[in-house]
Amino acid sequence: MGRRNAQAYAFLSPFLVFVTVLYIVPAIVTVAMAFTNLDSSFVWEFKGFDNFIRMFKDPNTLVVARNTVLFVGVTIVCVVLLDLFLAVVVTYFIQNQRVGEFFKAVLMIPMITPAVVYSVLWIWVLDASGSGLLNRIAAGLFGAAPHNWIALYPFPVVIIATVLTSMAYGTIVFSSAIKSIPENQFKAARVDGASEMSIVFSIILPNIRYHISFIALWEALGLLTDYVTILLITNGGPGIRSEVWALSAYHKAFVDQQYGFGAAISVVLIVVVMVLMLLIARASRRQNEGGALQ
Amino acid sequence: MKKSAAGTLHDRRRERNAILIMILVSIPILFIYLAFFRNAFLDSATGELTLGNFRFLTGEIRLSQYTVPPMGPAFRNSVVFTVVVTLCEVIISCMAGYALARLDFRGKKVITFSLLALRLFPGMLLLIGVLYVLMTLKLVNSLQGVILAAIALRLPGSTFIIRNFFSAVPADIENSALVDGCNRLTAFFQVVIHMVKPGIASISLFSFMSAWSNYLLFNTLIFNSKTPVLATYIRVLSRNDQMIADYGVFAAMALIYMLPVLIFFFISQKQLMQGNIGGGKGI
Repeated sequence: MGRRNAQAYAFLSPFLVFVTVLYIVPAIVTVAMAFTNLDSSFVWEFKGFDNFIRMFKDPNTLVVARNTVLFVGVTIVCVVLLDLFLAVVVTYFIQNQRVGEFFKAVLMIPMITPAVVYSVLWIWVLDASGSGLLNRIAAGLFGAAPHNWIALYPFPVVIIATVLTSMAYGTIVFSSAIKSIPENQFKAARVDGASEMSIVFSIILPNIRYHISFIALWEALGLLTDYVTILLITNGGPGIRSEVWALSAYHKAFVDQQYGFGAAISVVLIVVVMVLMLLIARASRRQNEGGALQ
Repeated sequence: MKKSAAGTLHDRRRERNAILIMILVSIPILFIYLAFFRNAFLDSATGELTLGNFRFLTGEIRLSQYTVPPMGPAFRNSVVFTVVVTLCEVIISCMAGYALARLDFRGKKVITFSLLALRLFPGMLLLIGVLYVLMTLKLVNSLQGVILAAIALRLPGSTFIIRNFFSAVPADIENSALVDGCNRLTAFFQVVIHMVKPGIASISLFSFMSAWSNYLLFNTLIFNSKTPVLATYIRVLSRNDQMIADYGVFAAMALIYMLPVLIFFFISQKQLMQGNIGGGKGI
């Protein structure tokens, strides 16, 4: 047994070193920092719950929290509905595999575009000057004067941009789930004279319900913690109109260099994320028990 | 889910409508991308066709009051970063995934459980702690530091995927190699590793994509402009309003930046599908 242990740990050691030094230690440091007023001078001084009290007294916190809930909620609903629609169309209604694959590839383009480029794509489309794509289209169709779209509607803009990058993943997952539904279920429904609508609602949706809850939770996790699209398109602005929780932790820590306060904001999010992780673990267990793999 | 090959007239009409819907969905996406990248070949002042926007490839260029250095160093750093991160991630996660799927050892349950938890945990939330650790190790502000952080943050996810691929390899195959005189290490490199090729393809694809497009790690862990990568190099151009007016140059840079991603994407699509079939568990 001793030799076997040594062998296994020889295989595991690089992994364990990396994960310990740059995952577990940072996690402990982040939690510890949340109770200090650490700033750019990097002097550790524990201040108890000062950061958390400051957070709850700050009127901006409420705005940021509301933005976060709204952003995550609206985006998830849009993404999941869109994913379901696209997956059903691409997989069930388009029987030709190669055509379906082609459309899935097109949907993946926003997902594979680096964030730095993707954000400028939107800034260009919504450019405030008359040369912006949307302004040109609006002028051409309605003779409208140019608008500064991002300043006017920062929140819808970041939601739409995020929906577009998120939709491919769920569509692919749902699509492979639909493919694994046993064919005889469809045959039986057709023999009974079921309409396409009732096939979608009474066969496809019930069969992939665990995938749906998995994707919804998975997206929630991603949307809560991934702020790079918002950072690069609006940077939370104008003011804090599109600031979300994770982005505000970034702003406090890396822009204002209030590392302690930023860490405290992160820790609140970490607690929320842990709850979500438990839910995801449960959903993916059910999904695997449900037979279909992903 | 396959219907009889000869679909009815009704089926075919339905499929045609579905394709029409998907074309309507695809056109705006393709249109925005094509319209945007067309800027790369247009002179922003005259609107004429030109390759002048690509001058950053060979030398420095001036945009209003700002001088943009040539792209060379940033490109080189991006290539080094991406290659090192992808290679290390694949090797380390294969070793760990193999041990967790195949070997029996003390502490296996604890490590497996941590892996399952960490794979879901968004490491980006720990950036402040990562920065502190790198400062302590005197690795902040360096490409090495970002490389280490990038590997570590993706390792749990990749290890989880490849572990599932290793689990799917029948134990008999490895056992017969062991009987034939291989030890664990030679069996690993000569036999088992070939059985999980689709898994390796899939983790290298994701690792490559994420390393090549990573912006946030460089933005938070490097405080000067001495170590530019393509993401930060391009970002400088779009950071302030005055400079972003030159979409032509930006689109030209973005095109160079995205080319490897697109090539990789087109090559690997087929492999990715095989990955899903071979291992049962993709992404």
